[in-house]
Amino acid sequence: MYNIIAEADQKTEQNFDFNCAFKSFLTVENLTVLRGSKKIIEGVCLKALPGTITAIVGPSGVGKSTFLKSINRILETDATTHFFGDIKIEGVSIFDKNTDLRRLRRKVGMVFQKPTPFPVSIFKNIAIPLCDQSPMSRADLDIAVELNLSSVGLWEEVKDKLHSSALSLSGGQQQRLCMARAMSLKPSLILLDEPCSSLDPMSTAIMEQLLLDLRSQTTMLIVTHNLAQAKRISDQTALFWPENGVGKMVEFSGTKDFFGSPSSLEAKSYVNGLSG
Amino acid sequence: MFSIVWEMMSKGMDSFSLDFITGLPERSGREGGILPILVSTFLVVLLALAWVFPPALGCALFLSDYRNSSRPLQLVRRVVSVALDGLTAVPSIVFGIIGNAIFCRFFGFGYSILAGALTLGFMIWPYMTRAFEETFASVPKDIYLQSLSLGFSSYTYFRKIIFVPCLPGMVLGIVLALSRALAETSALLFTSGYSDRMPESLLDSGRVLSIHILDLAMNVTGGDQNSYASGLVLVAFLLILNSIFSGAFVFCKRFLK
Repeated sequence: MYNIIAEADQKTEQNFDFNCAFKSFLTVENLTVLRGSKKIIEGVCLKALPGTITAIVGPSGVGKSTFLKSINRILETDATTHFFGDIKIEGVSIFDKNTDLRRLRRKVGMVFQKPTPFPVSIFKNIAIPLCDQSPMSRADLDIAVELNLSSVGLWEEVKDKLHSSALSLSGGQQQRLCMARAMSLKPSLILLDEPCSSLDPMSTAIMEQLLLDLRSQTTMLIVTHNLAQAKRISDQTALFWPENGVGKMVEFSGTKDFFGSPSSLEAKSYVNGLSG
Repeated sequence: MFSIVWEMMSKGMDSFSLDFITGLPERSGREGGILPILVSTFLVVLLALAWVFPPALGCALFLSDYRNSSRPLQLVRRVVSVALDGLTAVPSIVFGIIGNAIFCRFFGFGYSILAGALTLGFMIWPYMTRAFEETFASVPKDIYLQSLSLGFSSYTYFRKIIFVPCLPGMVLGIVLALSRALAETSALLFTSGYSDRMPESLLDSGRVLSIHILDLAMNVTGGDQNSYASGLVLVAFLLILNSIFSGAFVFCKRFLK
């Protein structure tokens, strides 16, 4: 597995010109997740460089979302979940005893499959996370809300109804609001769990452009069932595949190589639409 | 329901008047009004609701906040949950006896509105907590996970995210507890006492409406008519309060849309 990663690292570094240092930002080492006595994923190893988008693809039920939720440790709300292996962000293990979970989760933003704005106003959706992090004056808050909404291209659309319920927005706008909310805390890593699956093609295109624009600010991991989307926006791609009912990562390489010359049989058949 | 109300109206309507509501009881309640009884009832019920609201809310938050699901905490949650169910199953007369031993004697409050309110609070605690818990549990899991992924504190999650959407459900929980408290007799018999005088402080004994009805019907010869009239007041009182809270519930729901 480590060979796959080393190979992928090399290929990705050759293919992309990163502004940041070639130091792995996120390192997942041999991660196994159990729920009760059932293994969900086993032996997952992955590295993501700063400022890259890593797509995670594979059939349903192979633990892609479980993998994402392991990275910000929100899986732990279920006491029956156990982790083996390690996940490091900027070289620091997230399973360290001294890890401040609230701090970790502010550093690792997450956008879910279903747009889930909080049932408060559009303004408050952005303002609440900011104020929870540190108290802000009203003037600073106004500026921060405008900046965040502008960063996802939503400001012009909502500037006249900032104090209306966020639930009144369209699905695409709601998802962009969720993206702005996740970005408001300036996370260094964003986990996206099928963020476009409930959006129409127009909203999907806006969302994809947004992800590409944000690439300079943050590292992203995106779970998607849309192979074309993975091809369009990601720098590297990982394929999760079920083996005896357990999700395993069978291929991890630069996106061009993943779609151009996949090395595993599963990846070949998945990319060619023969299975999965 | 209609037959009960009809029975009370036909037998108690003759005594029912404004003077009955605003007058003082005479001849052990056979004549006169029920003003001190109403004042005592208000004080006991409102005081019980006021003191039990914060712990009942805290308890519901503790039980529904699965932010930290470590095994010791899960065990504590289980114990709290069983204790609440246990409180629901305790007969109200037992609450009365224990309330009398603890608040009237041990703390030295005597037969008083304060002792009655404290005892009644323990009785309605599980009803309130369970209703609140149910409301919090109805918040979509996605919203909970979102707030978790943003590193919110429990306070921010509750106060700023789910408090307003949960308001209607909380109002219903209060109505449930209020209705239970207003109808309570046995627990208050041994704690708030029998006195039908106008209470001057919370340490004065005060007779609540349900005890007044019981006393007139069972112990006072010729008190039947006023007993029915008092029953009518209690039912009207419950209907009015329920209507007010139901109105608040509908308003909250509409407002939240």
